[in-house]
Amino acid sequence: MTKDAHAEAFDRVLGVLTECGAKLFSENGLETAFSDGESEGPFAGGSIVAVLGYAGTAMKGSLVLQTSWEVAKALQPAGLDGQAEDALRDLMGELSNQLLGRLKNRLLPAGVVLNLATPTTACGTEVRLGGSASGHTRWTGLISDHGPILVRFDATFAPGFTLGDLDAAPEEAPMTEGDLMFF
Amino acid sequence: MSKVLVVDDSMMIRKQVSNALIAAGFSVVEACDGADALKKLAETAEVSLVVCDVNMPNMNGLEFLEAVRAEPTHASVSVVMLTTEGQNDLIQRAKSLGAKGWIMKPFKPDLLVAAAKKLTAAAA
Repeated sequence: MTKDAHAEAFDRVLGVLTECGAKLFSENGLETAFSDGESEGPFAGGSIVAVLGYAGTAMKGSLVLQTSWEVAKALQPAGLDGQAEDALRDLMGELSNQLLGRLKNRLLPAGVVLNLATPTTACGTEVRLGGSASGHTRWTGLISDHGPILVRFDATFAPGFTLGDLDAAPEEAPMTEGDLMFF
Repeated sequence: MSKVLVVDDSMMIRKQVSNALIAAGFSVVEACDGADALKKLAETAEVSLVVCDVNMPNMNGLEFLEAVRAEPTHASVSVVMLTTEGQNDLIQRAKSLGAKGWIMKPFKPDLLVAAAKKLTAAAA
């Protein structure tokens, strides 16, 4: 498989991830606009980082979310605002889980199954991430009135992998966010 | 008042779920993963429903479900999964292990409460 096929797959997956991120953050009360580019960190006044790994037969890697305290507070659900550092780190960990979960569900029609790990979080005034050993890595930003949410996505694709049709009709109607199914 | 065990490694999700259930008149106990949930289930009398995440450290939600079903004293406890996962084979595995339902995050509080009422009424 050519390197270009993997690069093309990475661009498509990243596009879906960014779309999922904007929707997720909007549902959590924060409107964002896409901004392609490198990390704008370090954040003045400190930042919170969540890291979540994933693995599958087609691809493996990790997702990183990094944002300021102010943005994290703006993302807190009503009734749970004004909480301590632990609550904000927990929030970012859960958002990384929900974002990667949404990406996973969007990739399922193409036959790509990702197994998600559990998130790890950190915070501080000079948080700096190391470089990625993954085949593909990129920072993107989602900009809000409160500041940016930076998203780093790392992926290594299996040899020979090509990303199929993400809009392929599934065999069964998939469940989507907020759905309930009784057995 | 029915008692619900809420299991999630996210404190925020536990609080959101608990707040919705308490406002609807349920009594709530919280656990941070499957292993903690098994301990709380053994310690707490009359839990009629468990709302359980899938991806958690130590013991995940499906492992917890399997352990619950292997314990006869928990036979009357209903379990509903609350997760970001929409993968069909995971849903089918939960069903085969005796889960009563599957809810995709982010949850709608009114839908969660309706499900809790339905499942606890059926168990009563």
